[in-house]
Amino acid sequence: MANLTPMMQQYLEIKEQYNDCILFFRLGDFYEMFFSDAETASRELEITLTGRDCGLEERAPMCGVPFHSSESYISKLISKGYKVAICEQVEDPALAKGLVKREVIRVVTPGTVTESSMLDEKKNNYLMSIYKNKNFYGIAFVDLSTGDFLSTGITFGNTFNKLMDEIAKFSPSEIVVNGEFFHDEAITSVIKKRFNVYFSKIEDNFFDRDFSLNKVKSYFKDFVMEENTFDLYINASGALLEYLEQTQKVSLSHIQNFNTYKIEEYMVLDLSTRRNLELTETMREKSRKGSLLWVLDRTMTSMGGRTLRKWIEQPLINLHDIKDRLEAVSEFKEKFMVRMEIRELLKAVYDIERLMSKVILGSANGRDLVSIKCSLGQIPYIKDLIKDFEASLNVLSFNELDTLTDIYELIDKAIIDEPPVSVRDGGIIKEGFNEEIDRLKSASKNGKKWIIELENKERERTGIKNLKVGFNKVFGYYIEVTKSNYSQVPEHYIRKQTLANCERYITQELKEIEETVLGAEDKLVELEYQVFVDVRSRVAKEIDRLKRTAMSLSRIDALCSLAEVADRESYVMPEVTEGDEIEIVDGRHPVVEKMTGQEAFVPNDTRLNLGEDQIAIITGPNMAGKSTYMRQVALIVLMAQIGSFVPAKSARIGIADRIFTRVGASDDLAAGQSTFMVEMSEVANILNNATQKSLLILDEIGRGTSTYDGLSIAWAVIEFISEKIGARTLFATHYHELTELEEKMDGVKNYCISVEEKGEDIVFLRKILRGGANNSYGIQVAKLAGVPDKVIGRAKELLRELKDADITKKGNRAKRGGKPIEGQIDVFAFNAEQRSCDEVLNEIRGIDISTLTPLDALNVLYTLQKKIKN
Amino acid sequence: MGKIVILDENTSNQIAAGEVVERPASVVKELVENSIDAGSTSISVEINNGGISLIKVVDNGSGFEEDDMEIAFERHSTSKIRKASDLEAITTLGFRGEALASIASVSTVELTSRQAKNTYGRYVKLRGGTLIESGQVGCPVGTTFIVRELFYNTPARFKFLKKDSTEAGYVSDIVGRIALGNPHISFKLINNRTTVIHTPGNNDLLSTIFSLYGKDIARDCMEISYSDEKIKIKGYAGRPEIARSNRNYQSIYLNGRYIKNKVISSAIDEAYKTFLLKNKHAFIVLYIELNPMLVDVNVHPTKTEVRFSDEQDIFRAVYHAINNTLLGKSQVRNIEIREDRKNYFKFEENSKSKFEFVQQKLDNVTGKKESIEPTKKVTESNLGKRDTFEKDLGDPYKNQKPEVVPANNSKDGNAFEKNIIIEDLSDNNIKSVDNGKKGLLAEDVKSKASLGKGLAKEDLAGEGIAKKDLSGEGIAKEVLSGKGIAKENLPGEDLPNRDSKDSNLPGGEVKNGDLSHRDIEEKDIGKGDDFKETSEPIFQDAIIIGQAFSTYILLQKGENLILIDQHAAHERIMFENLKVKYSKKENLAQYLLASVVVELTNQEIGFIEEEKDLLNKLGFNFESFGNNSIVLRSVPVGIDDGDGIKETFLQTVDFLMSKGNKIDGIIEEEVLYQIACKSAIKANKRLDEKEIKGLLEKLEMLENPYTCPHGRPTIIKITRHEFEKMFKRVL
Repeated sequence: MANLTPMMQQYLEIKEQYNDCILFFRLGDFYEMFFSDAETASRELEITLTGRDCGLEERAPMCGVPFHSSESYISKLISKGYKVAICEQVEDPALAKGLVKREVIRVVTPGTVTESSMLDEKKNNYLMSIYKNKNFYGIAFVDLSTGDFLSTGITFGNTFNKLMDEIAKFSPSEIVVNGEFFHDEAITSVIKKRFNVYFSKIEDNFFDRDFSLNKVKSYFKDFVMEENTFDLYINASGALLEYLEQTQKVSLSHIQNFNTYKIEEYMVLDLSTRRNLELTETMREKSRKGSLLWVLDRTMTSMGGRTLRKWIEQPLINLHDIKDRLEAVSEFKEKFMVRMEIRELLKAVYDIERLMSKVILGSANGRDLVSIKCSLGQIPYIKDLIKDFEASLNVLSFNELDTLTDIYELIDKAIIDEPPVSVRDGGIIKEGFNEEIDRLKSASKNGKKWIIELENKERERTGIKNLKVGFNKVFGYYIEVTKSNYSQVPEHYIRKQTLANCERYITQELKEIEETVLGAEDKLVELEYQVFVDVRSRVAKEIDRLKRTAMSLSRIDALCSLAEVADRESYVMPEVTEGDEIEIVDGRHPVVEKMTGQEAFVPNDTRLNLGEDQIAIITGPNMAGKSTYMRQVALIVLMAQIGSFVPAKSARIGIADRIFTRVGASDDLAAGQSTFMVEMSEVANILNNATQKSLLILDEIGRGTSTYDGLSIAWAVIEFISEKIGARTLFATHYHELTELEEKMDGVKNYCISVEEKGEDIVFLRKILRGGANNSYGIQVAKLAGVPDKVIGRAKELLRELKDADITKKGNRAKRGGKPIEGQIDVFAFNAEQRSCDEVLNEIRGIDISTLTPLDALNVLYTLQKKIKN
Repeated sequence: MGKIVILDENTSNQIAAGEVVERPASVVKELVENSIDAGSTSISVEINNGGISLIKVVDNGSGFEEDDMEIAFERHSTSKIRKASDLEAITTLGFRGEALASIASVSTVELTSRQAKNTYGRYVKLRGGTLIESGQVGCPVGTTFIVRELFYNTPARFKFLKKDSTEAGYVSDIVGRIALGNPHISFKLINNRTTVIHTPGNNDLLSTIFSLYGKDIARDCMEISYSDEKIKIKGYAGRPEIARSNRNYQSIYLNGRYIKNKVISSAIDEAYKTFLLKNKHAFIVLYIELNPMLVDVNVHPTKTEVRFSDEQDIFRAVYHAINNTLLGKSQVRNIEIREDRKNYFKFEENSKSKFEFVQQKLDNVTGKKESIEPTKKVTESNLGKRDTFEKDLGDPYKNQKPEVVPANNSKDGNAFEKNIIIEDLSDNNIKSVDNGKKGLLAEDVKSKASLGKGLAKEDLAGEGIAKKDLSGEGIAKEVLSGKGIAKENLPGEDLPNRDSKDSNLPGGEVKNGDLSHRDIEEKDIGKGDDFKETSEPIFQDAIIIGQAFSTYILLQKGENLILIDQHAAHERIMFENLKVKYSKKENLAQYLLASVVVELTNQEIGFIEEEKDLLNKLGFNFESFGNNSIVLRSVPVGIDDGDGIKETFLQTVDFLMSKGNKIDGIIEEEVLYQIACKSAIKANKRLDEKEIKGLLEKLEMLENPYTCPHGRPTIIKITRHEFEKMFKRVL
């Protein structure tokens, strides 16, 4: 180390403190990276790796990015799962003695990004902290870009499952945990496998009880802890705040409200249900298109988009709250023109929440303030438009909407309408806002006026007609006289420069004025910056009011969006009740309908309750639409509880506390579990946690194992649901045996999806009817799917054999199971005939007709006929 | 063997198709009307390639009876009438039973439909009118109609289709019209996968207007409500501000059916006459309800034409309905705070009272001026001025607006100018119709009718009127080609030749009041013509009366009072001057005695450096002067006063910057306009006689002295006759 250059020594000292980060080390106009950081970064960012003398024998590997375009590089590294520490020169190099002092001014991590270019504007970017203490968890979330802060504790039930649900609900981009959590391999491996999240341990003492309580109290002045509650969330919250401070190194005053919530306040949706119902992204492509959010999101602002997303991820279970939203949506739906006007106005509203975070974090520039101003400028009109609204949420919005005229005026008076990006180059403050600025401006202006007047004055005095005052960057202002007039130049002119045919002079007076002109400019730039910062912090002080208003705006936007969708897609207002019924007339699947077009989607009714219609057993071929139907019911219930209108002719929905789904093959193979294992653990979860108020969607339980095992499990599950849980259930299956349950158990009803047979083929009619299906048409579906004819043929053959065997063994089933087969034909003879037919067919396929003569053709026909006759 | 055979059905369908199915839009119209007749509340139309490759109409109506689905495609099959006598009281939109057969015969058609009573729907597919597939299908209640490959088997017709986008435009127009007529139905139109129309279907016409035409039009609509014993009229009439230059924004519905009808159109025009400029047509949506017995809709297969049994009643009702609406509401536009959102918060009101109107009376001989009385309040906006003016004049004279002097030296301009005059002439009728507010209307209509009858005996009165009022275009053309005006206007044998200027109108049937008007007006026109042909100097022998409001120059010339807007006129002069120099690449620059320092933003500095050549060419020479400032050494000729220099420069820079890097000849010309405007004499500037004369002389020299570069008139003429009418010296 001894012979390292001083700069390198400084680098290594800093790097040591930020070992887990890639250190962006500011050198002039570049951020440089050295050693292993350089190697990593050059690979990930595809930039050239070079070297730099560092005092050692070998040059240190180095790569760098220009500071003005660093944002995109940082964002690339963050998205690849790195943390970046930004180390700046903290003193003016011109004034520094020796080595310039450098410090890390910010650590950028996936959870602490605030640059809008790195964020999905319609999604919150959460940083989550988890404190594990034995089987209990305290958790806290923050979105640094908006200042949202939330925390809760998980202290009973299957705590680990609940933790997973919460992670799934908020899908944080970064999780920090305490040691106990981090070292529990079983847990961490699951999290790493299931979630695409940056996951790290932070120091245990951040989670220390007293430390974290003090931290929380220091942020939230009026925080009072309720007595006798589990308080693990305090530990998580304190640690989260500390971590933010450590990485951001600036005030976080926009984190305003300490919100605790109870998991039970919202409809519980476990991870697999969220995925199965494709609430915010599709299961396979993870794309937004095709999700429920895609259908419902017609918000005009990013704030509204985030709010709507939150609503979808946290459906309500309180009747009162649901009705409030529905009524508000209904009002917006009715008032078409008002809605259109509001949406138009919202177009001009920027992301006030995130802009305010920038204001607080001190990274907002003039344009950001002007964006805030423009957004605020819309509020009076929006407010005016909803002034006669009656729905309580809309009245609330009206009351909470603060026109913020003072802030509008402040920004409007202070900041010019089109400010430059940079806040340090002046040209940002409006005239009339600050006397000193105006004075400096006019000094500069008057000086210039004096100088230009000098031109005329001197022309007259000297009699030089073409005397001219000019300016260039090197000499400043000068008086220019052409060659022919040299003789008339007065004595006191000081010659500065001689050009080909003219000379340039200055005078004492001119230089003095120049000083005021040019000096004023420097002072002006500095002063403008100070005034700007002052304005910015005055805006920052109003964070409370701005946030409340932003919240109202985003609620209006989200409600309008739901109303707009309801209107455009012909949804109806559901009647939500505390009862147990789910009665849907002509329900449609919101996403499928949108994908295929309304005319192609066959609506279906649903009737579930805790009496006669508790469990619906749905049979029918694959592809007929069983899964679509069941998801449709789940989505309609969920939408109703979001406060959205629903795709149906009418709907009465008794609130569900949870929706459980067990649908199709899960893609959890990545998590290392076999399909059947996944299926069964999901079933276990459902059976252990479902209540009378839950809605269960079970698709083909038991299919992952042998037929009889599967059938038995399915049967037992239905019995258990019927007897022990009593939840409303949709149960799709291919085990036609299960249709017998209708007669054996109360509350079980059979349904099937209709299919029309057209010769060998089938046509899906997609209508749910009472009664059990008698055939799964598996082979026909396989054929539709393009399975080779040979396989299809053979499968048909086998099916016949199996069915016959079944019939001979258990003749008594024949009545119900399967299509009755006419008579007892000779199975083998039949098969032989079938086989020769296939052979002939294949031969015909192989004939090259273009090379056949008519005689050949006859011959071929003859041999073919012979084969069949045999 | 005879050569005549009876065509097979398919061929005759294809021929018939020509009548009903002209283009994709007509298919859409037929199908959508069927959907409406089926009681749908939501109808979606989807087209690709302008409807040529695909038209899909989806409704949620009652659906077809299963058995009907194939028979529906046979000719003259309809569910809507049973016997000919039903035709007399048709309430459904479709009834001829031709549409489906016609459409199916020239395309591939897929029909899917289900009634609520059935669990499943039924599907049929036809190609060229022949059934090729049918079966049961799962589908929602309602009907889906898919038409593909339109005109695939009739290449002649296919050839006549226009560009996809044009055809799509027709479809959009028809769907919009139908939507306006059915606010209780939600319509959707998807063109190449983009939703272009979506109406709410909330049974509120204004919402529907809003969704089709946007906020601004919806805001400027006034509700119409009228009824008498025979006719009910509802709808919305647009304020004059949103008038358009064609009739595309007028939609008329008779008993729910979109129609076009000349009688109604002319009634609308007359009702708006005093509110609109020439060649402007109001935005209007009109629902007319009339006993179906009083109207024949079975005139043409497309059913947009109708025949009324009593056209005068219709004319009068429409006229009154609209006119009452217009008169009922103040036409002074509310100057809303909304107009400019930026200015919602106003901190300082730095409104100095800019205008001081001083009425001046000038001695026409000596040019001696003395101000008589300052009028205190005169509204700033032109509109306001006109309004007060009109109010002062009182009702009967509202329409007596000064005309633009028709004289024009350039031949190209003639068509346009004459067109206006001709319209004026026919306006004459309308003026008296206006007077008819006091009971004359019916009489006037009658007189017109009788005139029409007398002239072309068998001709229908309505058509006669319509021709006169609507076919300005044709008339103008005729005039250009040198034929008589009156001939065109009032065809008929027993008309005397009206070409001769001193001729009277035909006597006998026509009432005298009208006559004299016409006579004099025509003389005026005649003079106008002379004016041009001899290219007599406009202001020769004119007497300068003086200056009014320090803004308008008043001249008397012969039988005319001529008003000149001094600013506009001078602006035109300056502009011509600049343009000539600019196009000759002459130097426009006029070097300043005292250079002017201009402070600019960084961005502006960058811009002017980049566009230095252009600015030099325009006459601006400048040098850098340190700290975001420049020193302006020269400006374009004509700009002289101190502040104007800077202002003109900044305005020019702003304007050029707003155009970005797309600066071309047109924009350069626009800059010249602006410079001209800046350098021209301002309004509210007193001029002495010498200045006025100078201005007139220069104006005289111009090729087109009649408008300022922005198109506003510079010269306005009021005839003696008009004065006399105002003072009721003549009737």
